[in-house]
Amino acid sequence: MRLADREHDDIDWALWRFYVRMAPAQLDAPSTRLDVMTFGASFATVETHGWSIEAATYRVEPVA
Amino acid sequence: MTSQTEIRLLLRPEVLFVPAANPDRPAPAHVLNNFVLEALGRTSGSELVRRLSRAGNATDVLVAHPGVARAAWSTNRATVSALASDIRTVFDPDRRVFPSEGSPIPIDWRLATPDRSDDGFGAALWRSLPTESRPSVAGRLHRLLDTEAQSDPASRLARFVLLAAGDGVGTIERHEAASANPPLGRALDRMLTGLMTDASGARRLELVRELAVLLYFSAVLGVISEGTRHVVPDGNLADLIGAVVYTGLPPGPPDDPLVRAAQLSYRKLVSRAHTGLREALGSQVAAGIDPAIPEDVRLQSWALARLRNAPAENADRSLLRLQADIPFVGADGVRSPDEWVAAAFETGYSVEHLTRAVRVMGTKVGFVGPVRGIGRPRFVLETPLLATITRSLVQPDNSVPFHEFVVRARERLGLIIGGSRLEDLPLGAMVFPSERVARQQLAALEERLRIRMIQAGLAREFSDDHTQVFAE
Repeated sequence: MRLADREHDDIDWALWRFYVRMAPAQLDAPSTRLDVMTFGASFATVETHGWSIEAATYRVEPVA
Repeated sequence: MTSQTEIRLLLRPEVLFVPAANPDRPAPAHVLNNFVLEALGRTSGSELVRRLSRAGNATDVLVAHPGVARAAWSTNRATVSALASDIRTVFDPDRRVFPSEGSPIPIDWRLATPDRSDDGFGAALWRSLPTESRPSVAGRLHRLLDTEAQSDPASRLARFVLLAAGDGVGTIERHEAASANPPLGRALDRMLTGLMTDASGARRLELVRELAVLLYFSAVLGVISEGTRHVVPDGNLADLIGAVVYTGLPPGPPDDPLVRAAQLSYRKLVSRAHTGLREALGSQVAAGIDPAIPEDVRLQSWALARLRNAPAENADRSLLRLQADIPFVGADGVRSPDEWVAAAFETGYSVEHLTRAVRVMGTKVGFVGPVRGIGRPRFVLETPLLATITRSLVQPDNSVPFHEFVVRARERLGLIIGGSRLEDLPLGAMVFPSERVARQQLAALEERLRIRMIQAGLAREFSDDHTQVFAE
């Protein structure tokens, strides 16, 4: 993240790169599960939510 | 007080790539959203990301959403709030969506949302494309931004968001007029053709991000070339720009002669663009003023007529601001059109404003550095931007020899990143003190770029000293 901060004034662009880069294995494979990581202040904590998205109906359910 | 806003309004609609009074505001996400809307039209999916993740009643809207309604967990507010927050993480990583408006990343084209924060650059880029190319660009854009055939979870979340929408398409007026900036439009068309290839999964998401970067980079090229275009009407970007770019690792040491050349090039180009804008306004005044109107109010009435063309602006108030900042009557009486235009670009829309605007816009995509305030601005290519430009210049070929890549960057985009094999030096190379020095320095620029591209995995060196640049 520090490196991305140096590259771009707009840190948020780096965030998306981070998101895309961190999860390619999941994003490349067809999957009904989406895990989203949220970083706390100073990146000291990481919170992860898992969601199951049904293929045909796109109904969402939280998963552990 | 300065009158950047009013002078910008006077220049429009003929001159579109002019930064507004607050050039920090437009972000890549804004430009991408408005470009997609111009290309594909607006649907009822627009605003959904904001309504489901940022609006004050987002959790209530989610509970009623067909993909959530009646689920046992929908009564748990903490889980619903977590879903709203995660929708924001996926679709608004750049934090450009606010409770009342904003620009999400349109992973699906139906999510594109209008946002005035782009200062009109998205529409200006679309209107710069050659008319005959627009259908194919729109088709490629549609394929890239369509989640219907995608099965990755981020695309599925987009489908979930879109469940809340109907199918209304095309409420935006389509603009099929001739290209607003032909040299930029031709370059953009080729770059988009190179970049927008079929992709899925993480690669598709990365391409959407790269598309936003490429469009914003093109808007910066538009700002640099717009003024000059009115002085050299038949030029292509190579003639209009000719930017010497520092090709080492940005921002580079200030005492490096290549850094100094890139700084000088930046200053010269912005100054030339500023002069071009002044001449463009001068031509508009000369062509537009009515000799039948008394001389003492001739300029005001021309300005008022132009300001009245601007939608959503109060023309009378704009004229008062303009008059206070750049009086139509000077100490020696009524100013001539030439005197007034010169004053307008000295005090109203100054070269310092344009210098700052190109800098803040360029740094957002890694085209100008350094990012922070210290050090004079220079053209650079941060590695992510270099990768995006490489893909857009190399494809549809899978790879090209390194020297061909250098030539394409110069001929298509006006970027001087080498040139050791050129017979004639590009005009932009006049930042070097002599032809001999220029040839030496261009060879040094080229070699630094070659090494950087090999290190970044964008090029490969073979045993016979040949270097090949690859699109992937």
